[in-house]
Formats: sequence, C-alpha cells, structure tokens
Amino acid sequence: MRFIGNVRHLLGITWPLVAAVLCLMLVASISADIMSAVRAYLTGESHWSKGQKDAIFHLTEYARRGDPRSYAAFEKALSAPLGDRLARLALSSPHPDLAEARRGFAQGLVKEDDIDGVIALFRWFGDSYLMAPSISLWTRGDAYIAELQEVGIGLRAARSSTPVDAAEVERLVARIETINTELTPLTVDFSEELARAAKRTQSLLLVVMLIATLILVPAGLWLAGRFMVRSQRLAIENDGLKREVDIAAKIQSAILPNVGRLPHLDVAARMVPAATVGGDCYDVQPAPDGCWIAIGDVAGHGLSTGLVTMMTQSALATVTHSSPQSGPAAAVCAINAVLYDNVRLRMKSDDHVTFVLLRTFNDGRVLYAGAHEELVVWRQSTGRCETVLTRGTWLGPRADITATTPEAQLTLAPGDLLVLYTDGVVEASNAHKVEFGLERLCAVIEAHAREPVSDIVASVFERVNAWAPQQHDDVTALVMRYQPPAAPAAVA
Amino acid sequence: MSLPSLTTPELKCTVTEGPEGLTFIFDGRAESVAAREALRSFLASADQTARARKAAQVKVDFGPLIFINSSCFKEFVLWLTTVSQRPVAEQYRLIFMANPGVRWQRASLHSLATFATNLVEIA
Repeated sequence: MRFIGNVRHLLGITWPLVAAVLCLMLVASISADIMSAVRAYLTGESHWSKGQKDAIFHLTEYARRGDPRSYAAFEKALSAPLGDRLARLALSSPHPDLAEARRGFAQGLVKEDDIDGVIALFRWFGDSYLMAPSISLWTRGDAYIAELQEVGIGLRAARSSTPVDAAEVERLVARIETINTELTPLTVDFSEELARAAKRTQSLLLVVMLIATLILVPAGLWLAGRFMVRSQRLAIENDGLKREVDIAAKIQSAILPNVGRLPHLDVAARMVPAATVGGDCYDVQPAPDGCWIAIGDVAGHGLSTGLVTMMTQSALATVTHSSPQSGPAAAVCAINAVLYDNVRLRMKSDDHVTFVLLRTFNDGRVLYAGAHEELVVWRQSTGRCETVLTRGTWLGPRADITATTPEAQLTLAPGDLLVLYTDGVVEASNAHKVEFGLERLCAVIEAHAREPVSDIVASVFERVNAWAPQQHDDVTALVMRYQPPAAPAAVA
Repeated sequence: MSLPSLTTPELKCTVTEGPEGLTFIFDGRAESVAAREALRSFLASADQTARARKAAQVKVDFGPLIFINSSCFKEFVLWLTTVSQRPVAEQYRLIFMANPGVRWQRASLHSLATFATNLVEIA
C-alpha cells in the first residue's frame, strides 16, 4: 500500500512531464509514419519510371520486329504506371474509392505494408505545397502513359493487318519517339520533385518536433514545478495539522486523571483511542468523604468528538469543584446544559454523549446518574458479577434533562469491585462479527478479581485485543475496588 | 407515495403497511459509514412517508437488528428529535419493539425513549 501511495504521489507531481514525453512520442511516431510513406512514394516513382521506360523499349522492339513476346513485355512493363494511374484517379475523386486505390498501388508494385501510408499521405497532403507539384507532374506523365497504351493498341492492329500497314507503323513509331522525348524530362522532373517533397516533409517534421519539444517540455516542467510546490505546501500544512492533532491527543491524555490509591478506593483505568484523538473519556476526582467517578463516550471518534469529550471533562470538573455537595443527577443535568449550549446551539452538531457520573462515599455507598453501559459490580462475597442498568438519558440533544435523569444508589462491601467501560470493550468484534460481549467481560473480571486493579484492567485489554486484534472503536475500562481502611484495634 | 426501502449488504429494512399503520423491521448490522449514509436517507424518507399518510403511530422492530454502533444509532436520535420538535398535530408515536436479549437494545432503547417520553414506547 505504501509503495502504491508513493507511486501515486510521484505521478501526481510528474504527470505533466510524462504527458509531454507521451505527446512527443506520438509526434515522433506520426513523423516516422509520414517519412515511411514518403519513401514508399519514391520507390513507387522508380517503378513508375522504369515501367514507362521499359514499355517504350519493348513497344519500339515490337514495332520493328513484330515479336508478340515484345508486345507482352510492353504490356507487363506498362502495368505498374497504369496501376499508379488507377490509384491516383480513385483518390482524386470527390468520393475517394480506397479499395480501388489499394488495388492500383498494389499493381504499381507498392509494398502491401506501405499502401495505407501512401494513401493517407495523398489524402492529407495531396493539395498541400508538399505534394501538389509532384502530383501535377504525375498527372501529366499519366497522360503520356495513356497515350502510349493507345499507341500500343494501334501498333498491334497495324502489325496484325495483312499486309502489315507499314505507313501506320512508321507513324506510330514516330509518335513513340515523341512521347519518349517529352516524357523523359517529365520523369526526371517528377523524380526530382518527389525528392524535394521528401526533403520538405522531413524539414517540416523536424520543425514540428522542435516546436512541440519547445512547447511541451517547458510546459511540462512548469506544471510539474507547480504541482511540486503545491505538494510541498500541502505536506507542510499536513505536518502542521498532524502536529495540532498530536497536541490535541496529548491534551486529551494529559487531562486524564492519575488514578491510584484514593481514600477507601483502589482505582486503575486505561483508554486506547481508535483514532489519534478519542471519543471516550473518564475522570476520577476526590470529593469530601469520597470521590466523583465518571465515564463517557461521544458517538464516533476523531478530532471533533475528541473536542466534545474535552468539553464534557471540563464541564464535569467545573460542576464538581463548584458544587461538591450536589448529587450526581444535578451534576449530570448541569453538564448537559453546558454541552447542549456548546454542541447543539453553537457548534450546530448532532453529537451526543453517553455518560454516567458516580459519587462514591467512604461508607461504600455509590450514587449514580446518567445513561451509559451497564455497570458491573463484582461481589467478594459471591465471587460473581452483577450488572446494573443506568436509567438516564444521553447528554447534548436536549436543553433540560432533569425529568429523565433519576439518581440511583448501590452499595459496595469491602473488597467489591466496580467496573466501568465503554462500548469499545463489549462491542469489540472478532473476524466472525461476534462481539466480546458483557458475559466475557464478566468472566475476565471474575477470573482476575482478587488481583490488583491495574492487573485486572490489563487482563481486560489483553482479552479484548486477543478477541478483536483490529480496533475499530475507542476502548476504555476503569476498575475500582472498595477498600476501606481497617478499623483501629480496640484498646484494652 | 410509495413505501421507502433500505437494502445494503449488511443492513436492510422491510416496510409494511397494515391497519395499525407503518411497520419498519430492521435486520442485520449497522456499523459502516455506508450503512449510516443509507440509514440517514432511509429515515428521512420514512419520516416523509409517515407524514404523507398522516400516521398516528409508526412501529420500529429492532428484533433482528443484531448490532448498531453509536454513529448509526445517532440517526434514530435525529429522527426522534425531528419528530418531537414538530407541532403536536404533526407528530406521530414511535413504538420501538425491542429484543431484551440483545445487549445494545438493553442499553440504548431506554435512553432513546427518554428523548420524547410522550411519543416513544418501548414494547
């Protein structure tokens, strides 16, 4: 994945240069095709010239000796120029007949592989200054070829008559000489003009390549430079953002309480966020004759939910410090009022917080309020866990939750454990989508209940991680043991 | 107005209409971003359908819904909040049929009901 990411990043910067190189390769490929077609024209012209020269020679021989083999050689020699003529006429038509043109060029001894290029060159550049002069000379030459064909037919008729029409033969031989005299310079011009056309084409293609290079390479470099600058800027911005997120994560970790030994309670807790900044929170704060303990979870995880958890903890700290004598229900309602104002009204967010607040007392009483996962109480007397539902409501969506925030009470005996956790513990799913669940959590607690609370927390995390190696949600667990100091020994 | 539908690879909802009104039966798991998007759009359509039919009550059967994460559950909170904020004449009752054997339902449906005790019933 990292390799693919690097390749994508590299392509993101260099694609203008790659595009420029591809364009140049395309121009070079087209140039090579054009030059190949030009060379095919030159070869075709040599076949045309040779054909007409041979045709004149064999027809003259036929006129003098009347040998049918000479006439057959004349017809064969004339075949190539006639084929080229056929192709030229097919392509010059307002509706070019490409099949006919192919047949003509094949007869004109143009190689099969070159025929399409020759046709394309004729159609694209036939009227341009590159090809028009050559085609004009070719057209004039073809007129002589046609005349030569007619002379051949006439000569054959004169030779075949009985007796031989010697006067007509003489007249036609004179005509052949005239054709030869007029066609020879034309053939030279045709050949030279084609050579010039080839040179002009080559020069033009070089200019096109040069212009394309001069435009595409600097454009590619300029664009790549811009992308690189933008990429560097984004990288700097990302670094800054990452630093800020890291700072937010550190702040979130920093405001978590340093739990340990409190009067009457041993407490251990751990939170592992799924993202850099989590949506879970917990807090433990000393209070007169006991302490406040809270656990909460903002739906989702990430920076925005992390902010809401920090708001929740701040509000909790404010409320419990300013009103240490109030009960948990009143404190929860006050925290809700802060969150409703901040989250719903100011941030216009629909986040809500599942949250339970406990007020423990040194005599083992625990008052609690809010709505969160079921509380787990391990009883030393039975060695078993009990679960307790929290019958409140969530924080954030409504301004006043007084009517739906009852306060309830449970009592801990010395040695009992109270376990708080977020849904990341019980909803951790294995590969078969089976949740870790409350029963397995209780089983872990029952198995390790007599160990130090920090070891119990470690065991819970170990089992959850083993159950669901891939973490999808924030995971938090808090374990406390009610451990009142031993009563002083009676004095005798 | 036709009945809305919700079918994703992991989550689906069967909608029926009987003499007692509309019933939505959710089935599967709702935990992915795609499921949440589908759920949001579906619940908006469900609300429109209930209003168009001037429904007095809507039943939501969560029985076969094995799991829903908090992000997806927020969509139901949003639905309930939307209904509860309307004038009384435009509101309808929501009866959530729960399966107490499913942990998330045990933990969350009571809290959902507290959002609008006059509108919500957990059956």
